[in-house]
Amino acid sequence: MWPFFLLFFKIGAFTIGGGYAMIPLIRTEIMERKGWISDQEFIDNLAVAQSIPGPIVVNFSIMTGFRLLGLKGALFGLLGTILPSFLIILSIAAFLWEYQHIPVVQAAFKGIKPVIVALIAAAAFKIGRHVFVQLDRLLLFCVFLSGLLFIGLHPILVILAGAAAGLIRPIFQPKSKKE
Amino acid sequence: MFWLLVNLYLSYFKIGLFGFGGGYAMITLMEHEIIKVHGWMSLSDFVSIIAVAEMTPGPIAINSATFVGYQVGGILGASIATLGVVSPSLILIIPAARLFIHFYTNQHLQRAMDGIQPAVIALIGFAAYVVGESAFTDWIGFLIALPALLLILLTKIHPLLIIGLGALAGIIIYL
Repeated sequence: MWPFFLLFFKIGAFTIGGGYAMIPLIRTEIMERKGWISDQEFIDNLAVAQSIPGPIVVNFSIMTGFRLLGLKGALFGLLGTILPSFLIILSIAAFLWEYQHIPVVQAAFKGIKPVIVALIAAAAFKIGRHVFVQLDRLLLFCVFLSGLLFIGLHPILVILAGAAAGLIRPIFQPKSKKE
Repeated sequence: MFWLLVNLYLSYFKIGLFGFGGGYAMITLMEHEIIKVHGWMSLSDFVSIIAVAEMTPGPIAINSATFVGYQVGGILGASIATLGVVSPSLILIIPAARLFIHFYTNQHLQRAMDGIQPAVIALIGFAAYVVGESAFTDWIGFLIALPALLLILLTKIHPLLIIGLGALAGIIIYL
Protein backbone atom coordinates (compact mmCIF):
# COMPACT_ATOMS: atom_id res chain seq x y z
CA MET A 1 0.00 0.00 0.00
CA TRP A 2 2.70 2.47 0.98
CA PRO A 3 4.84 2.14 -2.17
CA PHE A 4 1.69 2.81 -4.15
CA PHE A 5 0.87 5.90 -2.09
CA LEU A 6 4.45 7.19 -2.22
CA LEU A 7 4.66 6.80 -5.97
CA PHE A 8 1.59 8.96 -6.57
CA PHE A 9 2.76 11.39 -3.88
CA LYS A 10 6.15 11.79 -5.52
CA ILE A 11 4.67 12.41 -8.96
CA GLY A 12 2.05 14.74 -7.52
CA ALA A 13 4.69 16.78 -5.73
CA PHE A 14 6.97 17.37 -8.69
CA THR A 15 4.79 17.71 -11.79
CA ILE A 16 3.93 21.25 -12.75
CA GLY A 17 1.46 21.92 -15.53
CA GLY A 18 -1.77 20.33 -14.40
CA GLY A 19 -2.91 16.80 -13.77
CA TYR A 20 -2.62 15.67 -17.34
CA ALA A 21 1.14 16.23 -17.28
CA MET A 22 1.33 13.60 -14.52
CA ILE A 23 -0.06 10.79 -16.67
CA PRO A 24 3.09 9.98 -18.72
CA LEU A 25 5.19 9.91 -15.53
CA ILE A 26 2.73 7.58 -13.82
CA ARG A 27 2.82 5.36 -16.90
CA THR A 28 6.62 5.10 -16.80
CA GLU A 29 6.66 4.31 -13.07
CA ILE A 30 3.82 1.82 -12.62
CA MET A 31 3.96 0.15 -15.99
CA GLU A 32 7.53 0.16 -17.21
CA ARG A 33 9.53 0.28 -13.98
CA LYS A 34 7.36 -1.51 -11.44
CA GLY A 35 5.26 -3.61 -13.81
CA TRP A 36 2.16 -3.27 -11.62
CA ILE A 37 -0.18 -2.99 -14.56
CA SER A 38 -0.06 -4.03 -18.21
CA ASP A 39 -0.19 -1.82 -21.25
CA GLN A 40 -3.82 -2.74 -21.92
CA GLU A 41 -4.81 -2.04 -18.30
CA PHE A 42 -3.17 1.35 -18.52
CA ILE A 43 -5.11 2.21 -21.68
CA ASP A 44 -8.38 0.96 -20.15
CA ASN A 45 -7.89 2.89 -16.92
CA LEU A 46 -7.08 6.08 -18.79
CA ALA A 47 -10.11 5.69 -21.07
CA VAL A 48 -12.42 5.30 -18.08
CA ALA A 49 -10.72 8.20 -16.25
CA GLN A 50 -11.47 10.41 -19.23
CA SER A 51 -15.07 9.28 -19.68
CA ILE A 52 -16.21 10.22 -16.21
CA PRO A 53 -16.21 13.76 -14.83
CA GLY A 54 -13.61 15.07 -12.40
CA PRO A 55 -9.86 15.74 -12.56
CA ILE A 56 -8.47 13.12 -14.96
CA VAL A 57 -5.40 12.19 -12.94
CA VAL A 58 -7.52 11.85 -9.79
CA ASN A 59 -9.88 9.51 -11.63
CA PHE A 60 -6.94 7.59 -12.99
CA SER A 61 -5.23 7.04 -9.63
CA ILE A 62 -8.48 6.04 -7.91
CA MET A 63 -9.23 3.63 -10.74
CA THR A 64 -5.75 2.09 -10.76
CA GLY A 65 -5.69 1.81 -6.96
CA PHE A 66 -9.11 0.18 -6.92
CA ARG A 67 -8.23 -2.40 -9.53
CA LEU A 68 -4.92 -3.27 -7.86
CA LEU A 69 -5.80 -3.20 -4.18
CA GLY A 70 -9.55 -2.63 -3.83
CA LEU A 71 -11.18 0.16 -1.87
CA LYS A 72 -8.09 0.85 0.26
CA GLY A 73 -6.04 1.18 -2.91
CA ALA A 74 -8.53 3.67 -4.31
CA LEU A 75 -8.23 5.83 -1.19
CA PHE A 76 -4.43 5.60 -1.05
CA GLY A 77 -4.18 6.47 -4.75
CA LEU A 78 -6.45 9.45 -4.23
CA LEU A 79 -4.57 10.71 -1.17
CA GLY A 80 -1.19 10.25 -2.83
CA THR A 81 -2.31 12.29 -5.80
CA ILE A 82 -3.97 15.20 -4.02
CA LEU A 83 -2.01 15.50 -0.78
CA PRO A 84 1.08 17.23 -2.28
CA SER A 85 -1.07 19.87 -4.03
CA PHE A 86 -3.17 20.31 -0.94
CA LEU A 87 -0.18 20.85 1.36
CA ILE A 88 1.71 23.11 -1.05
CA ILE A 89 -1.33 25.31 -1.72
CA LEU A 90 -2.21 25.45 1.95
CA SER A 91 1.28 26.71 2.80
CA ILE A 92 1.10 29.33 0.06
CA ALA A 93 -2.37 30.46 1.12
CA ALA A 94 -1.42 30.60 4.79
CA PHE A 95 2.10 32.04 4.67
CA LEU A 96 2.85 33.64 1.31
CA TRP A 97 -0.43 35.12 0.16
CA GLU A 98 -0.09 38.17 2.41
CA TYR A 99 2.87 39.25 0.29
CA GLN A 100 0.77 39.51 -2.86
CA HIS A 101 0.18 43.22 -2.28
CA ILE A 102 3.88 44.10 -2.42
CA PRO A 103 4.43 46.18 -5.61
CA VAL A 104 6.95 43.80 -7.16
CA VAL A 105 4.61 40.81 -6.71
CA GLN A 106 1.69 42.80 -8.11
CA ALA A 107 3.74 43.81 -11.14
CA ALA A 108 4.80 40.19 -11.68
CA PHE A 109 1.15 39.04 -11.50
CA LYS A 110 0.18 41.68 -14.07
CA GLY A 111 2.67 40.05 -16.41
CA ILE A 112 1.71 36.48 -15.48
CA LYS A 113 -2.05 36.81 -15.97
CA PRO A 114 -1.88 37.40 -19.76
CA VAL A 115 0.32 34.27 -20.03
CA ILE A 116 -2.37 32.30 -18.19
CA VAL A 117 -4.92 33.53 -20.76
CA ALA A 118 -2.54 32.35 -23.49
CA LEU A 119 -2.18 28.92 -21.82
CA ILE A 120 -5.95 28.47 -21.60
CA ALA A 121 -6.52 29.67 -25.17
CA ALA A 122 -3.76 27.33 -26.38
CA ALA A 123 -5.48 24.40 -24.65
CA ALA A 124 -8.78 25.24 -26.40
CA PHE A 125 -6.90 25.48 -29.68
CA LYS A 126 -5.03 22.18 -29.21
CA ILE A 127 -8.16 20.19 -28.35
CA GLY A 128 -10.21 22.02 -30.98
CA ARG A 129 -7.81 21.08 -33.75
CA HIS A 130 -8.84 17.42 -33.40
CA VAL A 131 -12.50 18.02 -32.70
CA PHE A 132 -13.31 20.59 -35.37
CA VAL A 133 -12.45 18.37 -38.30
CA GLN A 134 -16.21 17.78 -38.34
CA LEU A 135 -18.24 20.84 -39.17
CA ASP A 136 -21.23 20.04 -36.96
CA ARG A 137 -18.98 20.02 -33.90
CA LEU A 138 -17.57 23.41 -34.81
CA LEU A 139 -21.12 24.71 -35.16
CA LEU A 140 -22.05 23.26 -31.77
CA PHE A 141 -18.99 24.93 -30.23
CA CYS A 142 -19.98 28.32 -31.70
CA VAL A 143 -23.51 28.00 -30.34
CA PHE A 144 -22.26 27.03 -26.86
CA LEU A 145 -19.62 29.76 -26.68
CA SER A 146 -22.10 32.43 -27.85
CA GLY A 147 -24.57 31.18 -25.25
CA LEU A 148 -21.96 31.52 -22.50
CA LEU A 149 -20.75 34.93 -23.67
CA PHE A 150 -23.97 36.68 -24.64
CA ILE A 151 -26.86 35.18 -22.68
CA GLY A 152 -24.96 33.95 -19.65
CA LEU A 153 -25.87 30.30 -20.19
CA HIS A 154 -25.23 28.10 -17.15
CA PRO A 155 -22.05 26.06 -17.75
CA ILE A 156 -23.71 22.86 -16.49
CA LEU A 157 -26.45 23.38 -19.06
CA VAL A 158 -23.77 23.57 -21.76
CA ILE A 159 -22.37 20.19 -20.71
CA LEU A 160 -25.84 18.62 -20.63
CA ALA A 161 -26.77 20.12 -24.00
CA GLY A 162 -23.53 18.75 -25.45
CA ALA A 163 -24.30 15.24 -24.19
CA ALA A 164 -27.87 15.50 -25.54
CA ALA A 165 -26.66 16.72 -28.93
CA GLY A 166 -24.22 13.81 -29.11
CA LEU A 167 -26.97 11.30 -28.29
CA ILE A 168 -29.51 12.58 -30.82
CA ARG A 169 -26.92 13.11 -33.55
CA PRO A 170 -27.38 9.65 -35.19
CA ILE A 171 -31.06 10.46 -35.82
CA PHE A 172 -30.00 13.08 -38.32
CA GLN A 173 -27.32 11.03 -39.98
CA PRO A 174 -29.08 8.42 -42.18
CA LYS A 175 -30.93 11.11 -44.15
CA SER A 176 -27.89 13.16 -45.06
CA LYS A 177 -24.59 11.34 -45.17
CA LYS A 178 -22.66 14.55 -45.77
CA GLU A 179 -22.64 17.02 -42.90
CA MET B 1 -20.09 28.94 9.32
CA PHE B 2 -21.79 25.53 9.11
CA TRP B 3 -23.90 26.51 6.11
CA LEU B 4 -20.94 28.21 4.49
CA LEU B 5 -19.06 24.91 4.64
CA VAL B 6 -22.09 22.99 3.35
CA ASN B 7 -22.37 25.38 0.42
CA LEU B 8 -18.65 25.15 -0.24
CA TYR B 9 -18.87 21.36 -0.34
CA LEU B 10 -21.93 21.39 -2.61
CA SER B 11 -20.38 23.95 -4.98
CA TYR B 12 -17.21 21.93 -5.40
CA PHE B 13 -19.20 18.70 -5.67
CA LYS B 14 -21.05 20.26 -8.62
CA ILE B 15 -17.77 21.43 -10.15
CA GLY B 16 -16.39 17.88 -9.88
CA LEU B 17 -19.59 16.27 -11.12
CA PHE B 18 -19.71 18.31 -14.31
CA GLY B 19 -15.96 18.72 -14.65
CA PHE B 20 -15.41 16.97 -17.95
CA GLY B 21 -12.29 17.66 -19.97
CA GLY B 22 -9.79 18.61 -17.29
CA GLY B 23 -8.95 21.64 -15.19
CA TYR B 24 -9.35 24.47 -17.69
CA ALA B 25 -12.99 23.65 -18.45
CA MET B 26 -13.57 23.59 -14.69
CA ILE B 27 -12.44 27.23 -14.43
CA THR B 28 -15.73 28.24 -16.04
CA LEU B 29 -17.71 26.09 -13.61
CA MET B 30 -15.74 27.51 -10.69
CA GLU B 31 -16.19 31.10 -11.81
CA HIS B 32 -19.93 30.51 -12.02
CA GLU B 33 -20.21 28.99 -8.54
CA ILE B 34 -17.65 31.07 -6.67
CA ILE B 35 -18.13 34.51 -8.17
CA LYS B 36 -21.54 34.64 -9.83
CA VAL B 37 -23.58 32.49 -7.44
CA HIS B 38 -21.87 32.98 -4.06
CA GLY B 39 -19.68 36.06 -4.50
CA TRP B 40 -17.01 34.50 -2.31
CA MET B 41 -14.20 36.50 -3.91
CA SER B 42 -13.36 39.09 -6.56
CA LEU B 43 -12.57 38.10 -10.13
CA SER B 44 -9.07 39.52 -9.73
CA ASP B 45 -8.34 37.34 -6.68
CA PHE B 46 -9.84 34.30 -8.39
CA VAL B 47 -7.61 34.81 -11.45
CA SER B 48 -4.54 35.23 -9.20
CA ILE B 49 -5.43 31.91 -7.59
CA ILE B 50 -5.70 30.26 -11.01
CA ALA B 51 -2.26 31.69 -11.81
CA VAL B 52 -0.80 30.21 -8.61
CA ALA B 53 -2.53 26.88 -9.33
CA GLU B 54 -0.86 26.90 -12.73
CA MET B 55 2.59 27.50 -11.23
CA THR B 56 2.44 24.86 -8.51
CA PRO B 57 2.55 21.07 -8.85
CA GLY B 58 -0.56 18.97 -9.13
CA PRO B 59 -3.98 19.05 -10.77
CA ILE B 60 -5.34 22.59 -11.26
CA ALA B 61 -8.79 21.63 -9.99
CA ILE B 62 -7.32 20.42 -6.68
CA ASN B 63 -5.02 23.43 -6.34
CA SER B 64 -7.78 25.95 -6.87
CA ALA B 65 -10.26 24.06 -4.66
CA THR B 66 -7.74 24.10 -1.81
CA PHE B 67 -6.90 27.77 -2.32
CA VAL B 68 -10.47 29.04 -2.72
CA GLY B 69 -11.59 26.83 0.18
CA TYR B 70 -8.88 28.32 2.39
CA GLN B 71 -9.84 31.88 1.45
CA VAL B 72 -13.48 31.18 2.23
CA GLY B 73 -13.20 29.02 5.33
CA GLY B 74 -9.62 28.45 6.52
CA ILE B 75 -8.05 24.99 6.75
CA LEU B 76 -11.45 23.37 7.26
CA GLY B 77 -12.75 25.16 4.16
CA ALA B 78 -9.75 23.99 2.14
CA SER B 79 -10.34 20.37 3.21
CA ILE B 80 -14.09 20.54 2.54
CA ALA B 81 -13.68 22.09 -0.94
CA THR B 82 -11.01 19.57 -1.94
CA LEU B 83 -13.13 16.71 -0.64
CA GLY B 84 -16.09 18.12 -2.57
CA VAL B 85 -14.31 18.26 -5.90
CA VAL B 86 -13.04 14.64 -5.65
CA SER B 87 -16.25 13.13 -4.19
CA PRO B 88 -17.96 12.56 -7.57
CA SER B 89 -14.82 10.78 -8.81
CA LEU B 90 -14.81 8.48 -5.77
CA ILE B 91 -18.51 7.72 -6.16
CA LEU B 92 -18.42 7.16 -9.92
CA ILE B 93 -15.16 5.22 -10.26
CA ILE B 94 -16.24 2.08 -8.40
CA PRO B 95 -19.25 1.33 -10.65
CA ALA B 96 -17.19 2.43 -13.65
CA ALA B 97 -14.43 -0.02 -12.70
CA ARG B 98 -16.93 -2.84 -12.27
CA LEU B 99 -18.74 -2.28 -15.54
CA PHE B 100 -15.69 -1.06 -17.13
CA ILE B 101 -15.11 -2.75 -20.48
CA HIS B 102 -18.76 -2.30 -21.44
CA PHE B 103 -18.62 1.14 -19.98
CA TYR B 104 -16.27 2.98 -22.24
CA THR B 105 -16.98 1.02 -25.39
CA ASN B 106 -20.71 1.64 -24.90
CA GLN B 107 -22.12 3.28 -28.00
CA HIS B 108 -24.40 5.74 -26.23
CA LEU B 109 -21.64 6.82 -23.89
CA GLN B 110 -19.30 7.36 -26.83
CA ARG B 111 -21.91 9.51 -28.56
CA ALA B 112 -22.59 11.57 -25.46
CA MET B 113 -18.83 12.10 -25.01
CA ASP B 114 -18.58 13.17 -28.66
CA GLY B 115 -21.15 15.87 -28.00
CA ILE B 116 -19.56 16.90 -24.71
CA GLN B 117 -16.24 17.63 -26.46
CA PRO B 118 -17.41 20.80 -28.27
CA ALA B 119 -19.11 21.86 -25.01
CA VAL B 120 -15.83 21.41 -23.13
CA ILE B 121 -13.95 23.51 -25.67
CA ALA B 122 -16.61 26.23 -25.37
CA LEU B 123 -16.12 26.16 -21.57
CA ILE B 124 -12.36 26.46 -22.02
CA GLY B 125 -12.86 29.33 -24.48
CA PHE B 126 -15.08 31.07 -21.98
CA ALA B 127 -12.49 30.48 -19.25
CA ALA B 128 -9.95 32.33 -21.41
CA TYR B 129 -12.44 35.20 -21.71
CA VAL B 130 -13.10 35.32 -17.96
CA VAL B 131 -9.41 35.27 -17.06
CA GLY B 132 -8.80 37.81 -19.84
CA GLU B 133 -11.28 40.22 -18.27
CA SER B 134 -8.98 40.46 -15.28
CA ALA B 135 -5.69 40.07 -17.15
CA PHE B 136 -6.14 42.68 -19.88
CA THR B 137 -6.28 45.92 -17.94
CA ASP B 138 -4.48 47.71 -20.77
CA TRP B 139 -3.08 46.99 -24.23
CA ILE B 140 0.26 45.82 -22.78
CA GLY B 141 -1.51 42.69 -21.61
CA PHE B 142 -2.17 41.72 -25.21
CA LEU B 143 1.46 42.39 -26.07
CA ILE B 144 2.41 39.78 -23.47
CA ALA B 145 -0.34 37.27 -24.30
CA LEU B 146 0.23 37.12 -28.04
CA PRO B 147 3.92 36.12 -28.07
CA ALA B 148 3.18 33.78 -25.13
CA LEU B 149 0.46 32.07 -27.19
CA LEU B 150 2.82 31.63 -30.13
CA LEU B 151 5.56 30.23 -27.87
CA ILE B 152 3.14 27.73 -26.35
CA LEU B 153 1.69 26.60 -29.65
CA LEU B 154 4.83 26.55 -31.77
CA THR B 155 7.67 25.60 -29.41
CA LYS B 156 8.25 22.98 -26.74
CA ILE B 157 9.35 25.49 -24.10
CA HIS B 158 8.02 24.48 -20.66
CA PRO B 159 4.96 26.57 -19.70
CA LEU B 160 6.57 27.43 -16.37
CA LEU B 161 9.41 29.19 -18.19
CA ILE B 162 6.93 31.19 -20.26
CA ILE B 163 5.10 32.17 -17.06
CA GLY B 164 8.48 33.22 -15.66
CA LEU B 165 9.10 35.42 -18.72
CA GLY B 166 5.64 36.95 -18.20
CA ALA B 167 6.51 37.74 -14.58
CA LEU B 168 9.76 39.34 -15.69
CA ALA B 169 7.97 41.42 -18.34
CA GLY B 170 5.43 42.51 -15.71
CA ILE B 171 8.15 43.61 -13.29
CA ILE B 172 10.04 45.52 -16.00
CA ILE B 173 6.92 47.25 -17.36
CA TYR B 174 4.82 47.93 -14.28
CA LEU B 175 7.24 48.39 -11.41
